[in-house]
Amino acid sequence: MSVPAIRVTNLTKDFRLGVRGIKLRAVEDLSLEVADNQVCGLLGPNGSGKSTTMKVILGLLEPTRGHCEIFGLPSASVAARRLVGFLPESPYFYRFLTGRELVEFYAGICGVPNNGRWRRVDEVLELVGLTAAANRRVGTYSKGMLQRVGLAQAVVHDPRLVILDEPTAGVDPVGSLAIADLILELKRRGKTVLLCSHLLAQVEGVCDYIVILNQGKLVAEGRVRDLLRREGLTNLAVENFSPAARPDIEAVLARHGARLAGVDDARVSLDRLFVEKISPPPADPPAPTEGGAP
Amino acid sequence: MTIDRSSWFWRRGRAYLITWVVLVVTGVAATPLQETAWNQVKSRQPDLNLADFKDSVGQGMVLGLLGGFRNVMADAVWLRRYYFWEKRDLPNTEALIDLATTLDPRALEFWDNGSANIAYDIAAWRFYDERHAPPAVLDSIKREQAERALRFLDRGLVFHPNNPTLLRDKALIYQFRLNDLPTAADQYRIAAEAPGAPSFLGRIYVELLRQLGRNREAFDYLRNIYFHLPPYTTADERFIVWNRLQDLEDTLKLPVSERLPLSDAPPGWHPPPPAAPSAPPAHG
Amino acid sequence: MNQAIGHVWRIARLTFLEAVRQRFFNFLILLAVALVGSSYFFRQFNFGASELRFIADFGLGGIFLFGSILSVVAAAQLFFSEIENRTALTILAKPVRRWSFIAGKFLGVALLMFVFIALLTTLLGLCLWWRERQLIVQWGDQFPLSEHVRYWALAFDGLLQWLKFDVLVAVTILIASFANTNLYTVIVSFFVQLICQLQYIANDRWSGIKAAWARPLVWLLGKVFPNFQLFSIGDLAIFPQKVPIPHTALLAAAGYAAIYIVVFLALAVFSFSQREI
Repeated sequence: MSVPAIRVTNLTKDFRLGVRGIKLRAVEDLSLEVADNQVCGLLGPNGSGKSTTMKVILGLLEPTRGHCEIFGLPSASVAARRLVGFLPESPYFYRFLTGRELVEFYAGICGVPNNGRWRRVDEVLELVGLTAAANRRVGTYSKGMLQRVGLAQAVVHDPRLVILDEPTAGVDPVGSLAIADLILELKRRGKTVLLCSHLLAQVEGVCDYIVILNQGKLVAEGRVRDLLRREGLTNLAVENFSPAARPDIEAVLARHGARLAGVDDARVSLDRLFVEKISPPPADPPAPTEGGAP
Repeated sequence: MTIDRSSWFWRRGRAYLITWVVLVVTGVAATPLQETAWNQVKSRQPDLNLADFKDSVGQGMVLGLLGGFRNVMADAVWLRRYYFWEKRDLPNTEALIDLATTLDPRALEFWDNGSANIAYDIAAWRFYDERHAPPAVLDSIKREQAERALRFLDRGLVFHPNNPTLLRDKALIYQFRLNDLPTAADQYRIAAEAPGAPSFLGRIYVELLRQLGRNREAFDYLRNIYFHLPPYTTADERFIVWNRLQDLEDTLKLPVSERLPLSDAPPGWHPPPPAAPSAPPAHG
Repeated sequence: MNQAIGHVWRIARLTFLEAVRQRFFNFLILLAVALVGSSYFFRQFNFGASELRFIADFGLGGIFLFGSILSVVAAAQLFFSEIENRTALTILAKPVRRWSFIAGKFLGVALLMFVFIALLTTLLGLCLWWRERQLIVQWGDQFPLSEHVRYWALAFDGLLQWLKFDVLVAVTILIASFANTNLYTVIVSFFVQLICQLQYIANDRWSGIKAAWARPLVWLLGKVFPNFQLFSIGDLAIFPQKVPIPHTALLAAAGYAAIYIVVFLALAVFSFSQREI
């Protein structure tokens, strides 16, 4: 059994505010595990302790009690941080650097070897779709481009764990979809992804596992499929449904001890509809040549 | 004893205490280095006593002085003095001379020019203001300004001990403002013997001795100067000194045995041609 | 360790590049250059040989004034911009130690100050050299030896001033490591600088204080803060002194600065390691 990517054990974090040091408990007795090669969503309302938990995982905060490990290493250690790539919320980068220079800077910081570094930089820029804008200053980038260059700097050193904080905040649906595709690509490449987001529809679309926090406590965790399943109900997708067939369908279901709870139109998500409408139509397939080659 | 890790002391107070202790230890450990450098600075820079000029500077200037701009502020005050000097504003000119020399007593220029302002310029301004007064009043103004300038120069000599420029300035005042030739001569001698003094100061001393009728003294002194002229002395200067020695020998009517042999004359020196015989008186 | 040093250098280089792009830096450079260059106009006053001292005083005063402002403001600004923009989050989430971050920030600002001091000291040296040539031609042998500029001493003084400003940068970074705002950091740092300029009063006079309870406090004050006035030893060496300044004193001043830079940075690392970003 592989070592979990993230293991948080009995994490409690208190902040002392003001001169009198009034205690604010941001996270209370939290324990969770994120398996290797999983996309995990960390959800919760504002002030639920998501950012605090994330910062403890990144080694930026010291827990008041409990501990946290990344692939078995203490999360505050430098060795653990070598295995992690992080995209902060609303990222701000050095505006005077070009996208390429920025990613190269972080590549150097993360220990990507000198020979092959620029090649690696170009690879990740291509992965995030920023090759064309790589030589422009980051200060000229749009919000979506900033997110993408942020993703690039997060993965340039090929980390095993990628932590994304609100990666699609302020990004249009096309950009969000591209980022979602990137996340799935990362999973396909064997990475583990921890994703914090308020956009639940997107989380639902990409995450395998979700953790829900509220007021510093864990209130729910599990596989998406399992958590969202409504007990006792099953959806059937039917083509060419006719209302006249309903009584027959109900009779068949009754014979098997089931009941038709409702009939409704099948829907696509609004995101998907938007992308379909604004994306350019696919190019016509090329006409076959005389030799019959495809 | 259990430590309350949530207490203010553990969270913040500990850090402050460690910081102060480390800084004190560093200050103590660095004391030898500090003293090595600071003693050199202290010995060359007189104490800044704000009481000396608290009435003549504003708060901004005090802050500037304390903030390390002492020399620049002294220079600025000196430049400001020019403005009032041009306007013949006596109180402000004097006040700024005092202030500049208090702020930066190391600047020789302040003492040199300042003394000239006090002894000559301010005296002339006061003459003009009292131009209808009897000569005795004008004389007392001249004397008063001269004595003030001498006291000013004495203060400067505390910071520039044995400085030939300031000693020369004193001599000039004794000579031209107080008409005290014996004291002026003495001052020229002291100035001439100060390290780094220009050689002409000795010759001026000799000249004053001649005016005072002390020709033998003048001769002995000038002879000593001649034989100790520095190597870079120009030929013209050597000729001047030699010629003066010749004059003094004639004035003293020294026998040949006491005169300087011609072999001691500077290279290239030629005796002056004998005076042409005067035309015989016309007869008839 | 090699990697940590590599991190320090990368962060320093980035800090330096960010600093030289800021309009504030360029504006200060222009002002300082103008001040040093304006000393050309002293020849109107016909100071004679003393003119070189005036030029040196004004030039060094300009370097001190603008150097102090730049040290504090640049260090505070470049540190806080990382905290406020949360680029510090991104960097510290990488395998970068906090001491590397602090050292990198310090080194970047120190490089900036080096460029600043080198530029202005060179300009001042050129002004002095050019005017000295003219005065020597005008005065000949009468130009006193005591007014000749010692250019090696001017260069060494530039180095000492750079070290002094580096101490000030280290102090600013220490304050920034626990402060919450840029403004607070700048104000406190300027106050600390003023105290350091006046430290010599506490250091020299604590034993003469009448109130017995105050003596240890004043002694403590004289030990906690470094003495910035002693760096003017470099200014004194620019013109020949009757009693020459021993080289040991100049080196002692440099060593003094080095000790305080290390100590303040170590304290900044200690403070920053406790800071919750």
